[in-house]
Amino acid sequence: MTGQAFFVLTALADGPRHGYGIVGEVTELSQGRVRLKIGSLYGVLDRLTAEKLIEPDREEAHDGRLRRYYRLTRHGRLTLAEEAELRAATARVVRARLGLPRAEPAG
Amino acid sequence: MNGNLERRYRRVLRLLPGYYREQWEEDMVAAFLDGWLTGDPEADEYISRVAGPSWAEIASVIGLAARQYLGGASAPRRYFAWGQAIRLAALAVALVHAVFGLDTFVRLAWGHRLFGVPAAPAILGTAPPASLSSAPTAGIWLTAAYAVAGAWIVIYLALLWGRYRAAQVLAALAVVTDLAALLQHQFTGQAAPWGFWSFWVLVDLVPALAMAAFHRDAPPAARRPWLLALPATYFLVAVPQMAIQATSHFFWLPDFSGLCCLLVAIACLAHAPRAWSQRGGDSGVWSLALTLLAAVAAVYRLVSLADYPHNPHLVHVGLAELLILVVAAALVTPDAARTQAAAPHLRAGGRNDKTTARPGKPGRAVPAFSRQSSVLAGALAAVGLVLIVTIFTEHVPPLGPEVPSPGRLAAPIVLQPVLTRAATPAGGCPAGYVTLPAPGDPSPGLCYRRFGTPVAFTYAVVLPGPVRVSAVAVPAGQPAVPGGQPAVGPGQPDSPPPATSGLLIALPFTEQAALTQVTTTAYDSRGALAMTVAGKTWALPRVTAPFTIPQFQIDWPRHQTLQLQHLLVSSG
Repeated sequence: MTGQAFFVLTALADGPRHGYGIVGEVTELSQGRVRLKIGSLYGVLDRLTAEKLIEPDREEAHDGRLRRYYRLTRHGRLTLAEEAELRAATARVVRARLGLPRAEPAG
Repeated sequence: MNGNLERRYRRVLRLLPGYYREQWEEDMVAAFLDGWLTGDPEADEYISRVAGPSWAEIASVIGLAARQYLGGASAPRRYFAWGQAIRLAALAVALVHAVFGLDTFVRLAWGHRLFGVPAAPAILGTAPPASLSSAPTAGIWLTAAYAVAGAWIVIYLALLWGRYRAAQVLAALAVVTDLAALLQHQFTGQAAPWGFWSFWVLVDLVPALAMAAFHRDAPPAARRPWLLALPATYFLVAVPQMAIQATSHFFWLPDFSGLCCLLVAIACLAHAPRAWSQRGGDSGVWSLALTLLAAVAAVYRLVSLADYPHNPHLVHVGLAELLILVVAAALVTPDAARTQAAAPHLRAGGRNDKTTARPGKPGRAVPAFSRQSSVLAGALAAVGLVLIVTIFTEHVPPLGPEVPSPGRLAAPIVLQPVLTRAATPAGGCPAGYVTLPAPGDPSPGLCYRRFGTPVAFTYAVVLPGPVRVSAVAVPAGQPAVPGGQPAVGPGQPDSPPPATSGLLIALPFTEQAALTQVTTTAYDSRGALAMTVAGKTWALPRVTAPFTIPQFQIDWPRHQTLQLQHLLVSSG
């Protein structure tokens, strides 16, 4: 899974979002490191939709434009959890190799 | 209100394929405008007038469009077919590069006796013109050429292992290096032949650009068959080539563009039965890939024909190769056309793909066509067989660039090992040493003493060099090229370096041992060679390695080269 896809799925973890909402959330989640361009975002959304990890949720009118919201599918939620676990495990191994103290559990 | 900004962005989105716009355009426009507009009519009015999509935004759409047109697994059938075909074609070209890279290193290793066997058989040092776009003789360009040869092997493997970015970066570096070598050649030596430029554009640049089709949506290549293809192609193409050269039949080898034509033609013939019977789901994609390769090979063949302006025979051979290619490609083109014409909105494996049949189901005419194709393939194979038989009975003219056979020299070339010593400060020589003219030597002022047995060569091909067409070029991998340095002596500090011109002396195959022996003697005693022709003696620069092929090149100031050439070939 690419970093972009990982962040997009994470941005949808706590509820449906529309296109630009995802861009903002990803920027925030990555602390400004990942700034998705619209072209990249829809590349990712197209792929995630095709892989049935996300699906359209609803459409809302806003300033005369239609905003389409997306949500995680069940499969997407599981896949994201697996990926997060994998990344955390990798990070633990790296920290151990570097002789760093174990990261404090989040939350 | 937001008309201008929206219009500008929609104009950018037109880069995307229609089916994609149908699905995503409104969404993308909304998301884009969300990023700009504030909801305050006055501010929005102003923004929409002055703002536009940034370059980064446009680049992201271009990238998206490229990934759609060169479709990945989730793209509609037609785009997927194009993407897949371009990936296969790029992989095939990378395979050829990798095979010749491998070939270059095998010859290099053999030339340096790394295999524990004596030395590479004579002419073998002669690298095929294939692997490199020009044949440098020494120095940094030789190193660069080896780096490029190695890079292509890595690029090929990187593509198979899904390291697309690494492959693309390396390919870009290889292409730029080749361009630099070509420009250097163009501006310092003679103009590069058409073959080199068309090689660079069609076999280097275009495949490197086509690697854009290897993106993250691209399905991975079937690794095992492609991996096996590397040694298989090496043994089926490069080794026979080497064998033909080793038996000094190398005039019968087609030049590289001819070889490309024949390889693609063989691949088309091999694929034709499948293309017509429609067995195997990806037959159409292969047909499309082969058609693309055939188009590239045909253009390459046509352009490089310009290298034989005075050789109607080779032009005929080239046109025959082109004809074989066109006939073979015609067998797979209908299948390719059907694949390419698949409805663009149907997803390759998606739900909306209602027709489960493969693209382009065979029509009623297939049996007739396949009979025709097998008849044609049989006829072509027969022609090939006749060609091969006649080649080995030596009754047909050469298939590749002709090399004159060694003729009797007007005056024999006598080579003798000499020891070198620096002249005394007074300018004299130690006892037993004499000075010798050493044109083109960067370090004059040496004294020489003859030792060892002189060797005379009576037959040779003498060609004004550097000769860079095909097999007679002084091969990459031969470090011992006398006079490889430009002639800039301390005697002429202010004058520009005199123009040098090369003279390639190719000895008969049978003289290989004698040349190796005399150069080995000189090399073992850290000495040089004295060359005597018609009573005149010159010193050649120090031997840095024994010569393992029966050729060497002399780079002297032009008038001296001409003088030597005159002595060697004049009838009087």
